[in-house]
Amino acid sequence: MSGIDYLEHTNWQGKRFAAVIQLISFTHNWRVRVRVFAEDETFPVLPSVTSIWNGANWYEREAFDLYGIHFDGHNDLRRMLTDYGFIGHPFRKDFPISGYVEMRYDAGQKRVIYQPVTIEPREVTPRIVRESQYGKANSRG
Amino acid sequence: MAEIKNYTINFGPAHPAAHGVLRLVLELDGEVVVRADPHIGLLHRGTEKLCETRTWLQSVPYMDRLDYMSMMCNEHAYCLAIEKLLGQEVPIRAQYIRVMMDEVTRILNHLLNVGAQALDIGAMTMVLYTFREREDLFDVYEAVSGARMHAAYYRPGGVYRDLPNRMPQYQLNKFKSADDLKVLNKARDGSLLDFLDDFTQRFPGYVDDYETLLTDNRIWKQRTVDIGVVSPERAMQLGMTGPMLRGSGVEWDLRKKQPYEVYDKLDFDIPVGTNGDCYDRYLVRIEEMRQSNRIVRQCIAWLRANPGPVITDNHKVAPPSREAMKSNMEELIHHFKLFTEGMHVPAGEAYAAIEHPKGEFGVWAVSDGANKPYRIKLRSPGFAHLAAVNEMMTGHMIADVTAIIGTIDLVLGDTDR
Repeated sequence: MSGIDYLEHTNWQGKRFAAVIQLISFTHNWRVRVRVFAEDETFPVLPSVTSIWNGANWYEREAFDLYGIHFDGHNDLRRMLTDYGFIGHPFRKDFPISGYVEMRYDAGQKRVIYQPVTIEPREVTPRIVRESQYGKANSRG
Repeated sequence: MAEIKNYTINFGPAHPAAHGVLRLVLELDGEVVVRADPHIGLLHRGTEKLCETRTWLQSVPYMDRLDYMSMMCNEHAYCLAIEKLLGQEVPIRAQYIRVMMDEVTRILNHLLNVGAQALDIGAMTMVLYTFREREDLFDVYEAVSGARMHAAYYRPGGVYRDLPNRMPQYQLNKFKSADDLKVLNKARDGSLLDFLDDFTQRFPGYVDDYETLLTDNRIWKQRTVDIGVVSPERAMQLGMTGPMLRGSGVEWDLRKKQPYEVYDKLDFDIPVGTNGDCYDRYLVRIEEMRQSNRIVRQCIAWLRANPGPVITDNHKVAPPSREAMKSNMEELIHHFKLFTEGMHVPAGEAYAAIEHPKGEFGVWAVSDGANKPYRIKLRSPGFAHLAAVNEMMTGHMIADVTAIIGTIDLVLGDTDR
């Protein structure tokens, strides 16, 4: 009955980490979105759904890699997208966009080395949330 | 006799048949694959995180760079998600243009796939033919958007501009004589639609040519029939979509099942396979190209008869015309706000999916009312397909690995995001 499914994450108000799964039914042509919040914010753990939907395997690995959410019952929870030996979970909101380390070839040591990033953080367009009446004629000030 | 142990080899990351930077760790028993473990992420650019730091509009060109073989389809899903959040209507002409360009993209993608898969398996000629046709379609891309590949043509609320009235022509130079130019510019005298119309008339003949080269080719069949078989149940369980799912005999196409834009007004068929092997998926793709050609022809006929706006006149979403902007204070402010601060998308979340040439490409957008997305999740079809590679390859010979990678239509930009 179910086919496509994938796991998904966001830092939400209330509990910090959640897994979101989008399910589709081929027989009924419905879509369902299920969201589960992790209780513990320092070590988020959620039950795995890979035994129900096998396709969720890599999506759980991705969520583990990028958000650090552990899936109980997943038998191959390795990092997926980040570098071998990467530290941290890059899609968490407290992870800077430029990361912490950069890689370059060091001519003196004749090998590739890791060093702290030299990129200055910058924001071109600030993030703005406008009040709901913003821009309306009667809401000056 | 010495005991023979399984051994492990690295396939890639710089293997020509890996279609990019895929590292595949293969555990072999003799020549038979026991386990295939794809290591991806070598092309991971963190697109989803980058989107969180850009305004909604600034992320459109990132979408081109996901699946860099079907650029406009990625933009389409992203724009649909924003429009869903905004509740924004799209002018009907823009919808037809989008559908037409989507189908052009589908042909582009399948041409590459069929050509490259044949090349991987050893039929060098195919890729030369398919790239000849791709060149014409890239000219279409260039004419509408100015870029051959990374178009950034779709915008939330419509498309960037209307289809051009004239095609660029080849110029005389020391490599091209006047006689060459006559041949090259034959179809380029009229508008873009004339050029595309000419192409769609020629294209079924080209597809026939490909079929004479491959469909009954003994070697091609030996290399693809019964290779990488996926049963319909497993295909659904593993989250496969697009030609991968249809090759297994499941009739599922979002263009028919959950029509978006104007697909419900167009006449086309959905091909399905029976065995779920590489050969069936190849046949599905060939037939999809013919069907896409049909759709393009219907769109051309409609677009010729119905002029109109191609982007919404809601200036909170789409910029006003240059002319209006230079003569009208209000429009100037709109233009300035739109390109400095960006559009504000109401808080909420939306999932928009389209039938991408490779499968279901979905964008899940979460907004908290700001001028930037809170979270963008891209559901790329290649990711789910690559996850199934272990199951498809186990038990096959090492030579079939390239056939299976070819058939899943792998583009690492889309898998790694």
